[in-house]
Amino acid sequence: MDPIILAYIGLALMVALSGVGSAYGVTIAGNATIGALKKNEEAFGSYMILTAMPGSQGLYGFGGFFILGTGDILNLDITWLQSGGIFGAGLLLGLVGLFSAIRQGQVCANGIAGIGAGYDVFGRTLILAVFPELYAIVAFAAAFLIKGLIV
Amino acid sequence: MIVPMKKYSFLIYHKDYVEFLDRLRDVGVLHVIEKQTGEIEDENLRNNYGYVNQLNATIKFLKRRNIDQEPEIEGKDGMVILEELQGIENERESNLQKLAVLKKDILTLEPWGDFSISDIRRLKSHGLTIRFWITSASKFKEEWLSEYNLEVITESGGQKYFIIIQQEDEKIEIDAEEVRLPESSLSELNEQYRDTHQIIKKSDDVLDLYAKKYIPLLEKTRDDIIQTIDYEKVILSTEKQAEDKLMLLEGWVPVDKEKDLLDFLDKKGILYVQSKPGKDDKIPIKLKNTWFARLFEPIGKLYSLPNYSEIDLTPFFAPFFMLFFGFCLGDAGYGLLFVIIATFVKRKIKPELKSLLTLVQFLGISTVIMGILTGTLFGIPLFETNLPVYSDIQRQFQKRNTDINQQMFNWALMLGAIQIIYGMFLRAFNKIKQFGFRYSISTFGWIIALLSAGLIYIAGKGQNTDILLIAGYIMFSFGGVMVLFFNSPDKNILINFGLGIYDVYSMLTSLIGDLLSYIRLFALGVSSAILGFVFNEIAIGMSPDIPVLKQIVFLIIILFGHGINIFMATLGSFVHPMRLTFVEFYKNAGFSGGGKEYKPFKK
Repeated sequence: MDPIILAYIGLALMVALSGVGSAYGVTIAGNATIGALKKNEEAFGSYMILTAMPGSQGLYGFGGFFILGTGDILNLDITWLQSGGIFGAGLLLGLVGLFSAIRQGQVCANGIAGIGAGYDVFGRTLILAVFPELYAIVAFAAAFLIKGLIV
Repeated sequence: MIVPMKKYSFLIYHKDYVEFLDRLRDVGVLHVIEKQTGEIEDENLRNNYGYVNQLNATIKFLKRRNIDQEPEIEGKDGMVILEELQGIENERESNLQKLAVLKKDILTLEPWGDFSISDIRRLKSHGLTIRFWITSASKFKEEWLSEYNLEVITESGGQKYFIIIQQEDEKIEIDAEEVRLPESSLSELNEQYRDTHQIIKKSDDVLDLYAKKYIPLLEKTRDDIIQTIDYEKVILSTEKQAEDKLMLLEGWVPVDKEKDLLDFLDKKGILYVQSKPGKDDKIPIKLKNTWFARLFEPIGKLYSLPNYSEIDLTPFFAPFFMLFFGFCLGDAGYGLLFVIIATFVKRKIKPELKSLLTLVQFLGISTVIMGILTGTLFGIPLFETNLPVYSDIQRQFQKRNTDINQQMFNWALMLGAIQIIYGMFLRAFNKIKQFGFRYSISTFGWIIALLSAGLIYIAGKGQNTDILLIAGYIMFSFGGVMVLFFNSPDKNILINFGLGIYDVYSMLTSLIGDLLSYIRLFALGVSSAILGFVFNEIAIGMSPDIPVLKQIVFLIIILFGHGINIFMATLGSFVHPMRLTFVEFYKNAGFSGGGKEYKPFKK
């Protein structure tokens, strides 16, 4: 097996898993929004912002792809070290992005439901939603640092 | 700092009480000690709360109609207007429902056309019942036409609508759905629909009229009721003494406002007792800080006000918060945007929001500085360019086999260590303030032990540092003794030792966790810089080679990308330093919190 295969599997995991996570996350929040709109139509702006929050993990996955998937090393001469690094980075960012986005979506959905029920919880939900995001950020930073180690 | 408070108790003759309360409200400095019971039980108070909610809802509803205002306040009673509006709204609601039912009936009747119900009734009185059926075209059987007096009325959407004229007791057995039609004819229903629609439109016009004239009146009525609520709450908090002939009222006054109150009391000859706060009193908190720390008070309030006996930590976390925000956002370009926009908006905004914008300016300045230090400008990595200072420093980095990111990692941990030790100093001083010097010895011991451990580590790495090393070890032992044997001054030495060992274990684990938590500063700082860089690359890479289109696509991607990045990164840069302040810093500073805000009884 050529090492380049491992590298591309890693990149696929990175973009796919974090993208799937974001898709699930925004869907969970979006479903809550539709329910909340039935009770309180005016707060749609808040619902929209909270629904958009879990979307950032997909962005991190894509950003990670841009950092690791572009450049000179992705060719048939890639070493096992480099492709292993890319695979590792892809796996870590993909997995963390997947689960943190889904869970962040659940936090946001609860906040949206709360606003729909008439409680003033937008600001605090925003604060709480940032906490799962931190781990995706840390994973993104780790992926970036791996790039520094393998070129 | 927390403004010192004094407790005042007043004894007023019941006949003079109302006037006393009015004058007291004018002075506006007493924070009344509220009795817990009685507030919810009082019907009057509950009603007033209800009115305030109703007024708020109605004002919001009227404002949404977006009509130009021509206020009319004279000679009208806000509560009467509220009642009228509620009546109009209820009627409108029921009319809307009626409209919905009519619509449904019209849709049911439409396929059958406009026929007269009285004709149907007349036929029935002669023994002929007209029954209405629907079935799908595929289920319709042609033999029914000969079996029964069947007439197909219409066919639509794959469904056949037909009637059967039933004679006397004729049996009808077919596989179709019989429908019950409304009692009115189609033209009657349509007329009713039009009429109801007109009524609703008229009530909309009336509501617009109310929206034009009465919003300020409703707002004034609501504010008056809120004043009344405050008044009633004070009355409820008054204790009646001497067979209800004397009123006892207690409250807190900040010492800087004491003179106003004393002038009033002496002028009116009112009997009062003044006392210092006791240990078990729940004293309200009024903060007094320099203009800089005051900008950060709203952030502190998001978590909790300090309790009366401890130090207000706002001036101590303020500079750290500013620094951490800048570190996390870390892009000189974004910081510059904040400063410029905040300066511009500040001129046009109402006074209450000015301090918020000043805070934004400071956070922006901090971001610019940190952006320059970490070498990021709108996502451009300055250390990888050929700029004068940056390229020199980059060469130095490369000589030592490191880079700016590695330095940022170290800085994040160092800032964390500094804030933690700073917090421990504050805890020591807090202990001195609350309990006396003996109780602070073990905290100082920890500080000494940690600093000397750091010294030993640094000395171990250098050369010719034997003296420093020895000094470090001595200080460490000294600190260790303080921790192990002085943590509980009022217990004997063996218990102190036991508790000391436990203290070492719990402190070490929590310190490691706390220190590592500061890595988030590095992670956030690096990620916002990288994302900016990535969007720049995407914009360059994806813009086509066609002259004008290239610039447009580039601009769109840049604006969109950096826009998202600014939003997400700012949110993170605000929330995570806040978390570091409220969890790591407050914990190490021994903050307990739970203070209640100072809310004086005033107009």
